[in-house]
Amino acid sequence: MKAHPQDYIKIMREEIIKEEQASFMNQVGAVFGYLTSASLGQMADQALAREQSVAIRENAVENLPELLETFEKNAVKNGMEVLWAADAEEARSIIKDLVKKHEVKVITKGKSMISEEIDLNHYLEAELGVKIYEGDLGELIVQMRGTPPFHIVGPAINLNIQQIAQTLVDHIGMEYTEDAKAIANYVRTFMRRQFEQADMGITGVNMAVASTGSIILVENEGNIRWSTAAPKVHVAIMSLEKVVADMADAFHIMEMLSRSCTGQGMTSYVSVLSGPRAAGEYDGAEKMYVVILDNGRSDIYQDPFLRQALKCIRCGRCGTACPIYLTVGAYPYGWCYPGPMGTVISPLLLGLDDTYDVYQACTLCGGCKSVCPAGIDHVELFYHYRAMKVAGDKRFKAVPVSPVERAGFKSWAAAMKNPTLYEKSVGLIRYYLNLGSKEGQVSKMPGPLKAWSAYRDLPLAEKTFHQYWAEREKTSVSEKEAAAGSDKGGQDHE
Amino acid sequence: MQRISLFIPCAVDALLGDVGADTVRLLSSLGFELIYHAEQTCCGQPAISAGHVDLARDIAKRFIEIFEDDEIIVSPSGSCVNTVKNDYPRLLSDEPEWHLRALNLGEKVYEISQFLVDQAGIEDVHASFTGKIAYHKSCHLLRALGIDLQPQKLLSHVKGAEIVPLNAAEQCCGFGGQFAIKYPQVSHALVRQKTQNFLQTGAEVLIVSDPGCLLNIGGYLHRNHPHLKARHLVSFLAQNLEGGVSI
Amino acid sequence: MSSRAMILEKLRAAGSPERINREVMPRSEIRRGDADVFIEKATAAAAQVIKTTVDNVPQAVRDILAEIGCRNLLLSDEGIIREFKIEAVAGEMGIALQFTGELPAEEYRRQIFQVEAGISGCDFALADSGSIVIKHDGDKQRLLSLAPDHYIALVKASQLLKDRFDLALLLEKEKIAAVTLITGVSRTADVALQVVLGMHGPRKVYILLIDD
Repeated sequence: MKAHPQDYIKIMREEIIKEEQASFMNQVGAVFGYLTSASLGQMADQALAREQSVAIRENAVENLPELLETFEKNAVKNGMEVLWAADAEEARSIIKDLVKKHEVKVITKGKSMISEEIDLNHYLEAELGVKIYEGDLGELIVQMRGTPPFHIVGPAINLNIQQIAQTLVDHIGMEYTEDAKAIANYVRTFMRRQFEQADMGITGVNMAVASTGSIILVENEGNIRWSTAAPKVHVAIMSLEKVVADMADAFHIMEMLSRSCTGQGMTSYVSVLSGPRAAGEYDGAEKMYVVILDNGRSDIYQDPFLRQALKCIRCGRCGTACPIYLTVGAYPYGWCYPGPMGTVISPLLLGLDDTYDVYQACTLCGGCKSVCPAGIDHVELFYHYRAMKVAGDKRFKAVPVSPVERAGFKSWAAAMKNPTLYEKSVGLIRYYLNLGSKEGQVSKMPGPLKAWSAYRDLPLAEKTFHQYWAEREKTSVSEKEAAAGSDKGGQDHE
Repeated sequence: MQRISLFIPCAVDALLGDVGADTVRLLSSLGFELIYHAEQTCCGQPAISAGHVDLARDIAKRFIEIFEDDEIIVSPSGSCVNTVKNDYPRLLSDEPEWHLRALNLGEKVYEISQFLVDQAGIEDVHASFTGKIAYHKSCHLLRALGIDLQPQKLLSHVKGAEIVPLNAAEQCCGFGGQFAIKYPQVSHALVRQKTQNFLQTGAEVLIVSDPGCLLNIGGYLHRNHPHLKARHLVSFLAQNLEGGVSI
Repeated sequence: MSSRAMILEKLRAAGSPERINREVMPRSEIRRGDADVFIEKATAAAAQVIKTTVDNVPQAVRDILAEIGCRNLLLSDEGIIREFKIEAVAGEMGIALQFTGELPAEEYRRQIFQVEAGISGCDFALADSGSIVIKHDGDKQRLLSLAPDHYIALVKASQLLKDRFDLALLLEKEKIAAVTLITGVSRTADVALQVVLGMHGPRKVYILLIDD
């Protein structure tokens, strides 16, 4: 999909008034929080498990070039073809050539955020007129509606059953029903036809295993198994950070992924693919391609601090822990990566200026960081992006902060370094606040702060602490003097 | 007893002086001797949060100079304590001497509930209150400093107070400093959500540990549910001491 | 310069001079799995697990097929199926059946979309997650456990491993084109968060756990 994070504020205003949606998403957050905590709690040593997943991803990112080369070597030995794409355009072009080479008419897909990142579906449909069917029910719905996915695992999670049913009525001729089973059944039958005809399956990759040259794909619905077993050609797209060292590492990440994502110890299906079909197989791809995508990640990799952004395992747990994402939803983020996962990666891939509101509209509450199985320090990253924006950053496309803001902070800093200036400033602010106050609460905030007053008052104490302390000191001094005085025979020092 | 140096955040000084006063009342009632460096202003968190790190560095250095000779420093704000303990060393990582001074200072800075329970071994401050209360877990206190049980232990010893569980107690209230001014609609939605959860408890008082949360939730309640109150932990304790309120 | 070369060069040029490389997950020997744990986990994932003895396998299969009421099925052509003469059991019930291995490719592909049930053995089972593991080496076709409405898996208790890390050790050494881990029944929650079982895979999964 075409990224448009610059529309954050506009879209946020549209979404924020949907109070029911926010209320619903907050409940979803609570449910996911409960399910994932319970699932992680089932592990023998949850704290150790997290240490291990953090270490595995750190290992993988620190050894990225070696692991990628090892993966490629072994994958090729297994009979896969490994192709490298510097950017989205090259990835699309590579896949287009494969579609043409294999005379593909129908494609079925497993859910792949990378394919969204490179806007693959629209491109192939427009350039070649192929028919592409998203196999995942949620993805199919949003594909039909032409909207971005709302959540990495629940693309249509924000839609009610009436909207889902109507979408299927409008696009694939379902008879209107609000029965979830009937709806799922209709899609099952519909997709069977596509799976049967498909010439190519396109999937993402959850983990690429370097030591065995395998890719691992996890799912609950079965559309990935279909897309990798039924068509003659399989194209798997992965961003370059998806590799891990070996099968044990991969299986541990897989466990942390499913427990953190949906609260499952294991998803319904796990496919470990190490090459095209074996001799004697009737199912499975005859030709298997893995496309490794850079698209800005090798630039992120140059910075030893920022490269932690590449540790992400795409579990989406950060989203369900983020009060902002739960409140504004996915659309304001303007891309296929919503929530904190998006706030981590979009500024680095799309540029700090275009994504300004994405990383500014965050309270730095740390909810995301506290649940991340890969050990990404979201709070430090977002602090960093803000500092990079202030100073300006050529690598990640930020012009320095506006002179007005800079001047404002400079005067504020000057006041903070000078007690006299500080006290005068506090006095001035309190004067203006008191103009709009009544009984210890300010109902009308002055000038630049008036946005506050749209929704709430501001508590305002009668005195500053400095004043309170000074008075207390004076009182205790005169009390001491009075005590000393009374010892000397009752002289009144009042 | 050791002398406690008071670290009073700028927001408390300027807007919530009574919270500072209640900090003094509470600690005095427990017999602590207090000192207050009147030249203190701000820890610099707003500059760090907004990315003006060079300005924050100067403020940090001044703060370190003011406080580093104290034995113990206590503050009624988890977010400010976090800035000093966790942000200062990172901020000054390129200057080894300052980095070390920041680390050393950080060892001596405590949020007030952490100080009372962990350092002074005090859980019962001899307060009483009849009624239901709920406890909101401020973000920096909970996640950045790992302080969770300490405030709750202090509250559990308040005679007569019934602590009612709060749904999503750990969820951010939406203050976020400049966030509340820059993205007011989103901030509003978050404080509204927090308030809805609070309303469900049936409690009259919501206890918070951070001045930012107090400004945000306190102001929102006053505008929309004036019969309900948000109180800072130290104010709630200090104002309900059994011995009566001292000056 | 090719994209490959450019990307790898950029990655190599950045990065720490001393690359850390730890073995994070402990490597142990292969551990056996507990049958009761497997039954509990597989059942929780909505598979129907039937425990039986070696002698009772034919009857157990008969019972399952009777419950399904299918008129046709496909069988994988391998050890456990032949060992227990599953084809005879089903044949005696008047069910039309074929071994996948006996069909030419196009005929298999035609039938797999129409057949009502599939039966195969497994290579392993993972007790701690209630999963069955199938190595697709030509005997056990991939769609056999995916396409039909009903799937019956035959597992021997001796095939039980403790968990996925035992499997990882085995997969590290052996090269297989495709391995599938099946845990329960396929599902979706994409219809307004209501969980529906049997999405793109079989609607019902039967696991016959043979105590050997």
